[in-house]
Parts: sequence; structure tokens; C-alpha cells
Amino acid sequence: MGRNTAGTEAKMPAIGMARPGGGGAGRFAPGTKPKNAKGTLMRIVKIYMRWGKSIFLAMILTAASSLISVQIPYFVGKAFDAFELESGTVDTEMLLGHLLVIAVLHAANWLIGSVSGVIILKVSHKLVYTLRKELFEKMQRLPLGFFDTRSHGDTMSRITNDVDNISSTIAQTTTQLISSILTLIGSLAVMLRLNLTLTFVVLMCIPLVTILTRVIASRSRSYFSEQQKNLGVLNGIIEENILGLKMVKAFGRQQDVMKQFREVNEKLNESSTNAHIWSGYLMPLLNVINNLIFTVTAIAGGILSIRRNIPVGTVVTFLSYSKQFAHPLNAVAGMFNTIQSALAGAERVFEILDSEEEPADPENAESLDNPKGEVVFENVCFSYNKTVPVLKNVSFRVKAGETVALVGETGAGKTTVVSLLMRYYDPDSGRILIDNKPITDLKRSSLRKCFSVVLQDTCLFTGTIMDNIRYARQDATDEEVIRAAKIARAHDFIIRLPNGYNTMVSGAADNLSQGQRQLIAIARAVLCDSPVLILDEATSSVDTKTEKDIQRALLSLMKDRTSFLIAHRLSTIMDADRIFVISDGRIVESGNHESLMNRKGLYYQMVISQTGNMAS
Amino acid sequence: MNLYYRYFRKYWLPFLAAIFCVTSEAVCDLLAPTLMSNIINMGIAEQQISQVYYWGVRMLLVTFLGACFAVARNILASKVSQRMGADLRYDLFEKIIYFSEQSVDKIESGSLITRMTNDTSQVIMFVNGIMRIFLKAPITCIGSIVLAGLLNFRLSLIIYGMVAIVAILIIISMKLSYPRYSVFQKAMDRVNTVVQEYLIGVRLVKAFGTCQQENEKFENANSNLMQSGIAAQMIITLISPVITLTVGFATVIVIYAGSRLFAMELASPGDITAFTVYMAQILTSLVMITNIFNVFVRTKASTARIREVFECEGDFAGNGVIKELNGRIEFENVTFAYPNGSGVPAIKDLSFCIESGQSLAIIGPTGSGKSTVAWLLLRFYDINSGKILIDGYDIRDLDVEHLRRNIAVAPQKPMLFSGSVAENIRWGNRNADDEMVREAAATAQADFVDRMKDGFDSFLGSGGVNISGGQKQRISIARALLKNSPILILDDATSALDSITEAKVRENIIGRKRKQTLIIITQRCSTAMFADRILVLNNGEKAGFGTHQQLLRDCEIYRDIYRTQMESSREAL
Repeated sequence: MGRNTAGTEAKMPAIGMARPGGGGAGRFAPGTKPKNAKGTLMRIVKIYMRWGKSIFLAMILTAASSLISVQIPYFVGKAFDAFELESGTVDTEMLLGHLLVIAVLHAANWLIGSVSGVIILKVSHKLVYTLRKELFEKMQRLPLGFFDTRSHGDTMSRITNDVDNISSTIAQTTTQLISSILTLIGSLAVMLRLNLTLTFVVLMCIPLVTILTRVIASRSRSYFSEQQKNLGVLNGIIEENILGLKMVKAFGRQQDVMKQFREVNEKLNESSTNAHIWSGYLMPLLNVINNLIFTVTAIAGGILSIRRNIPVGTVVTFLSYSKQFAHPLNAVAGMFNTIQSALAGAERVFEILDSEEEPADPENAESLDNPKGEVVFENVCFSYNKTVPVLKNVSFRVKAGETVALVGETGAGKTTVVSLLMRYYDPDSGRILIDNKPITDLKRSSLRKCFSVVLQDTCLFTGTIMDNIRYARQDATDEEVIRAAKIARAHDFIIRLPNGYNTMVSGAADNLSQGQRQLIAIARAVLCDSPVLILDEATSSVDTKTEKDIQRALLSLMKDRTSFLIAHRLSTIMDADRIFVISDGRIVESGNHESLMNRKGLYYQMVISQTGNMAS
Repeated sequence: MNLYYRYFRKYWLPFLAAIFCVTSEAVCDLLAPTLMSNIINMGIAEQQISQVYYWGVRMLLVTFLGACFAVARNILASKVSQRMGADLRYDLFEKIIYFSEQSVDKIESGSLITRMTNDTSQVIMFVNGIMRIFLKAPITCIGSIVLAGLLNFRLSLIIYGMVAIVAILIIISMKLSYPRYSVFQKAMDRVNTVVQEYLIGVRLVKAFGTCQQENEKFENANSNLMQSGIAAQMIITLISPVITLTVGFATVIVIYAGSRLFAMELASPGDITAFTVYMAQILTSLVMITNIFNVFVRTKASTARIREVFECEGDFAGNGVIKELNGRIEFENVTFAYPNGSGVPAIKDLSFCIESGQSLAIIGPTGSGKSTVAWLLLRFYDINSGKILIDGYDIRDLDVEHLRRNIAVAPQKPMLFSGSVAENIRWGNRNADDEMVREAAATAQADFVDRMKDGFDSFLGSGGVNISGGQKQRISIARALLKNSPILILDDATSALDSITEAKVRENIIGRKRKQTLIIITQRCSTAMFADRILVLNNGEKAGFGTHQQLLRDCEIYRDIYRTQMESSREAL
């Protein structure tokens, strides 16, 4: 609970490092299946193509490296031919010749391996960098509705984990795939040249490995999927009970909670044990197949060498190839799964890239220079999900410099009015005008310059206090910042801090109190100096002195500025030029405090319930 | 390491059996090259097909045996490690559920959650690893070296040299990589923070129009991440091929040296082949051992964190007196400082008294100690001096569970749990029937539940219905109401409700048949005004106690609060 509140509870998945030792069990962890594997794959390939030259080079180098690796056992075998067994001597020249070739091949492999390794490393990281950059830039163009309908955690996961997944998995997997396939083909070629019968023997491992992998993969995948599910449920129980521990104690629910935990824990135990058992069959059995083929090859090789005088070296060569053969096969099988999950991740990333952006500025969009701040709503109707209307035919005219307080029950539509004004959303029907120009005709960048906001969530970002105040006007001088802080009554407490204006602030409120953060937010709005102020009053915890400071600061801020306040404090409401009482999506009463009190309508009732007839 | 010892003791038999299997498996693996060399030496080289069969069959048997051990080891390892994991999780969670508040303050919830999830996974993974792979690598490595030595001592000298060089390379790469990885970690944290802050403050960004800035901020963090990532992985990318090269050259040297020895009849081709295989095995094991070190370091940190939780204090035990309570509350010179705080008392010498059935409002700015009063009443902590009495009984003498059964609280943050609305409300009284649940909801003005699609069966929680803050608060109040206890505490529990709804809830509660002692903790004067008595707290001290009228007259702080909240401030400018 409380997951979606913007605040410290939201747990963000962070970019993690690739976990080591991912072979074995992890390989059969279920990825989500991609919906359109081919299309996604094509798109990823296209993105990789931006570094086409480097990738091409890397592929060629990998191929070369594989071919070299394939040759080595062959030459090792040849080296053994130099051993004349009957006489017990060695043809040293031949031996040295072959050994030299082997050494050169190793050296070449080293060089190629290093270069291609560096290329792939750089390209993978560049790819991730570019994808993240594009994602972030895209997010800037997305409408607010996108952010409101998704959990932060989900979006973060796409930018961090899913992008990581694409890069690391696909880069390594592709090179592994290429080198595996080439190794297989190369080995096959060499073996065929050497001896047909023995090759056939070695090839027997293919069907064995395939069957084994298939059987084990499907079983363990289903167990892993169940494990993940149970783990999710268990983690949910853990999180909510630890966060709500006080209530668990206050209501004496410890035993119930433990019972719930035990149930899920046992289920998790069962599924994870099965998953591990099944996936653990793979390596030993592969080993058996490996050694079986080895032995059979040895036997066959032995018989052939005796009957038909095949040199010892050939048999030795075959034996080393047979050891080599099963591994690439296994690797390819595992890759299939990881590529699948990377594709699924890629799809999630592309989903963001393909999302609908905020409507672009029309061609003849105007710029609003010197806005005065006159706001008009004409018959505005709006609903968030297009079914339940939130605003019904709202119309009003606010003069430049007027302070308007919006009051009403939770969910009546106060925040919506303000959101539409700032063009977070577009109304279903009706028009909104600033200085007599419809906001849809204005350039968005120009429209945004009209507003300063102080919201309930102060949203300071990590940086110094000076940076935070300067946020909306980067070109402000230090003096201007200090001046704004003085007007906002923030200067006094700032200079009393150990580092003054250079004190570091972070997004999570630790070193400053709520009230102090509010004052900084107000200073930020003061500096911004826009003609329209939007204020969503925080009812949060402030001590009386700070509260007075905030109120005075706000009054200074609101002077000569069109202000829209979503007000909670009676005192703020009473000070407004006009009060709009919003109920069920309509403005039902409007006027200043005295006139509304005299009307004895909804406003009157609200005030009375708060003050019990003691309002002045 | 006591942590592991506790669980190993429970499962020592299967654990040892698994270790036995791993060792046997490793031995079987190690025999393979020797048998292989025998096949070549005594079979193929000597043209003795019977020898080929002889050694071939042995090789198959050994492989088969090895596989049996491997499968047995796998089953044992999986069962034991996962079972241990489940036990560890259960014990750890149970420990936390029965934590004292002091312990919760010491280790924050966020950290507790991470310890329950990540750290236990880390430990389980390590135990699993020990039984599956970790032992095998050193055994294989040492075994290969020993066998190679037995096979042909002279040649094995080359292996020792190679192992030494590779080990040095691995150590160098680890030493160089670690600091780079921590730089990389910090860069990751930075990118996370930037994106997180953006998502939280997106409204601000759009309102202020600061897109360009945000782009630049992200660009900095992102490119930094890329560079540090490349730097971190560069070391291993460059050193890895060198290691392979070393092994390759060593192979060449072995073959050459082997040829000299062969000429002196001190080595056979079979030996040399076996050597190449041993070298490959040693290489793989060395790399595996490096991984083990990585995991071990991380696991050590996790183990320490888990042990810290187990060593924390538990809640007060329930073994006191049980008496029927009516709800008369008395604080006598109570002083209390949070055990893990700065030492400054949260409550100083506080004394007040309210009768059963009366209502008390506690008002004051943040940090004045209001919620602390509630936690002390619930005996989440013990006070430093003074007494808290309920109906004349010192709460320290009362049975803790009984005490808490007699107090219902609706906290500042609603803290609801996954389950239906009805299940959540039933936390107050698990034996309540539907009628009682409805009644509690109605008193708390939570009739919106009826208008929800599934009504009281609507599921709250991730994946369930999303309800607003005010709605959550009302369900939390209903939960407290259902308990029907002599004492009811509302800790700023109506902060998200508008004034009309709040007034209705207040009236409903006061109008109930059972006269509960009602404690309302609030910052709003408009809420406090209606209580029988108001306690004004400032910096943990009593600044005033009396009715609204009395305080307006006598208490300056209260007057201040009233004026700031209720009166126009234009004149004050």
C-alpha cells in the first residue's frame, strides 16, 4: 500500500551489475515471452547497425578467432605425429615447426580476442547509452497521462534493467553464438577431412544433447516460473508487514502473519527445490554424454588405428574435438532462452519509444511575450478516462493579478482545473485562454514560461540549495537568488546552515524539515517570477513560526500575480480575492469570503464545520 | 559464521553426504584424463585393442559413477540449501515480527526489507554454491595438479609455473577492477537518482518548462555511466585473453618439454595429452575460484547484516497482570527519549489525566511529541522515568498483549494490508460478523465502499483497487472502531479528509453508545477545539492543558496556533 505515493516508499529497481555464474540454473529462468519476436529483433538489429562498421569488424574478428581455435587441436595432433613410437625418437624439426604454428595461432588469437573484446565492450556500452538517452528524451515529450497511468517502478525498470538486458545479453550472446556455430562448423570440417567414421561417432552426441536439453528446459522453466511467482508473493508479504509493523503489533496480528508467511514460504521452497533439481540434471548428464562419446571415439579410434594404421596423432586430435563438441551445443541451447527474455525486455523499451507524445505545436503557434496572466475557461468539460466526467461545463474569467482560491471536497475537481490550465491534459470540449489566446494555439515552451508552481510535494532534486532555487531560471545571478530567498523568508534559515547556500539537498527529505523545503520551493517560484502562480497548499507538518513565515512569503508571492490556490487553511482562503467552490465538477459558488458567508451555502457549511461558528 | 553453524547442525547429515558426493564426483572427473592417457598409452600406442576396451570400459564406469554422484549431489544440495533457505527466511521474519520498536528504529524498515529479501537470497545462493560448485573447483584444481605431478613430475613443474602466472594475473585484474567497479556503482546510483527524481517531479518539469536542463543533467549522468562501465570492464576484457594465451603457451612448452623427455624415455605421448587436459581443467577451476571469491565477499556482507538482525532485541514479553480496563489515563512526570535518537527527550516531565469516556486532543507542531504519547500508551517503548497508569495500574505491570487489546489506534499513515476491505477492517476484531463490519465502516464515513464494484470484498493492495488517501484513512478508522476497545487513539487520522467529512466522523464517534476514551492527535485547531480537554505540547513539554476557551485565554502558544490557522493574516503583514 502507498506504493504510488510520490515519496520515499516507492522502491525503484536500480541498474544492477550482471550476476556472475549465470550459467547452469539461471539459464532456464523464464523470461517473459516477446509478443512480436521477429519485429523486435529486426529493430534491435537496426539499432546495432548504427555502429555497423565496428560490429562488422568485431564479427569478422570473432569468426577469425573461432577458425583459429578450431585449427589448434589439429596442429596439436600433427605435433604428436612427430613422436615415432617404435623408435622412441622425435622428429624435432617437424615438432618445432608445428609447435611454432601453434604458438603463432595462440598469439594471433590473443591479439584478435583483445581487439574484438574491446570493440564489443565499447559498442555494447554505447548502445545502452544511446538507448537510454533516446528513452529519456522521449519521456520529456510524453503527456502527463503516461506518467499517471504507470507506476514509477515499472518505468524505471524499463530504462534501467530492460535496456541493460538488451545490451549485455544480445552482445555477448551474438558473439557466443557466432563463435559457437563457427567452432562447430570448423571442427566438423577438420574432422571430416581427417576421418569419416570417427566424425560420425562424434556427431552422435547431437541428438543426445538436443533431447536432453529440451526435456530439462521445459520442466525447469515451469518450476522457475512458479518460483518467481511465489517469490513475488512472499516479498509482498515481507514488505507490507515490515512497513506496517506498528499496526501488526498494535492489533496483535503476529501469529496470523507468521501463518500466512509459512504457507507461501513452503510453496516457494517446493518450487525452488524442484527448479534447482531439474536444472541441475543438465551438467552432469551432459558430462556423461561427453565422456561417453569420448570413450566410444577412443574405442573406435583405437580399433581403427590398429586395423588400419591411423596415426596416433589423428586419434588424439579426434579425442580433443570430441571434448570440444558438446559445449557449443549446450551454449546455443541456453542462448535461445536468454535471447527470448532480452527480446521481451526490448519490447518493453520500444513500447515507451512508440508511445504517443503530447500534441506538437501547431504550425502557426504563437509565442506569448510579456504575458499578463488573464485566465479564461469557456465551457470546459474533461474526464480522465473518457467515461467518468470530472469537470462539467466549467467557465470563469480571472483578471490579471487576482488571487483565486479553489475549495471543495477531495476529488471534486480542484486539481483538475489547474492541470488543464497548465495543459497537462487537453479538455474534452471547451476552451482555455490566457491573455485572450487559446492555449492550444501557443507554443508549449512559451506557455510553460507563464507558470510558477508550488506543489504539495516539494520535489527538490539532489544539488545545492542555490541550484534548487535557480532551477527554473538558470541564468539568474547569485544576488537574484538570494533576493528571492529573502522574499520567501528562506534566507534566514539558509544562512544558519553549516554550508549556507551550498548545503547539499537530496530528493529524499533527510537534512531539512518539511517546512524548510517548502520555503525553498517558494523561493524557487519567486525567482521564476512568472505571471501565473499555481499553489497546492501542503497541510503538512510545520511549526507555527515556519507556518507564519510561509504564509507571509506566499502573500508576498501572490501580490500582483494571478494566483490559483488549492487551499486548505481557512486563513489562506479568507485572504483570497475570489473563492470558487467546486463540487462534483462544477463551480457552484463564487465570490469573496464575506459574500459567500452571507449566502449561507456550501462554503458557509464548510467554514462552520471547521470553526464551529467562531469565524471572525 | 555462527549463522551457518546453526543450520548446518540441523542438516549435517545430508550436507556431509553432499560434500562426499561432490568430492567423489570431482575424483571421477579427475580420473578421466589418466584413464584417457592409459587408453592412448597402453591401447592405441601399443596397438592392443583389448587394452583399449579395458580402459574404455573403466572410463565409462567412472563417468557413469561420476554422473550418479553428481545427480545425488544435485538432489541433496538442492533440497538442503533450499530447505535451509526456507528455515532462515522463516526464522528471520519471525524475529522481525516480534521486534521491539527500539530494534525497528535501529535498523530501518527499508534495510530490514532488503535484508529479508536480498541478503537471504545471497546467503542461500552461497550455501547452494558450496554444495554444488564451490567445493568442486578447488578439489579439481588441486587434484589436477597432484595427478599431473604423479603422472610425470618433471612436466608438472611447467604446470606450477603456469598456475603461478595465471594466479598473479587474476589477482592483478581483481585489484584493478574493484575500485573501478565502485566508481561504476556510484555512477549507476546517480543515473537512478536522476530518473527517479524526474519521474517524481515530472509535473514540476512540465510546469517550469525545464526540459533542456533535465536533458543535460541526464546526459551527464548517462555518459559518465558509460565511461565508468567501459573502464570497469576493460581490465577483465584485456586480461582474459592474456590468461588464455598463457595456458596456450604453456601447452606448447609442455609438448616440447615432453618431447625431450620422450627422447629420454621419461614421458609418453599419452602423458602429454593428459597434461593438456589437466591444464585446461586447472584454468577453468582457477576462473571458478575467482568467482567464488567475488560471491564470498558479497555473502560475508550479507551474513553480517542478517546476524545483526538476529542479535536485536525482541518486544516485551507477555507475562503481566490481566485486569479489566475502563480507560482512565494518567501520565505522571513521564520523561522519555528515543533510545536510538540524539538523546534529547521527546517527552519531558509530562503529567496529565483524563477520565474514562472523555475526549482529549493533543495539539502541537511537528516534533513536539504527540505521536510519542500514543506509542508510549501502547507500550512500544518503556519510559525513562515517571509512570503511565491506566485505571490506576502501571502499564509496565499489565500484560503487554492484554494492554494492546484494550487500545485501538488509527495511525497517521493508514498502513492497510493486501486483502479485501472487510479483511482489513476485521483486523480490529477477527470474530466480527458482516453487520458489525458495516457499522464500523458507516461510523467512519466509509460508505464509498458500498459504491465500489465488489463492495467490501474489493481487494486492496498491489494489483487491487486504487483508493485515495482519504478513503484509506477512513478504512483505517473503521478498523480501529471495530476493535471497540476502551481507549481509541486517532493520530492525525483525518488529515486527508475535508472538513465536512471530518466533522461527521467526529460526531459519529462521539455519538456512539460505548463511551470510549478518545485521544485525538492533530495539528488542526479546528479538530482540537471540540475535545473535552486539549493538551498543548511544545518541544515535548506540556504547554497547556484545558478546554478550548481556557487555552485561548491562558496559553500563548495555543492562541498563536489558533490565529495562524483560523484568522486572516493580511493584517499581520
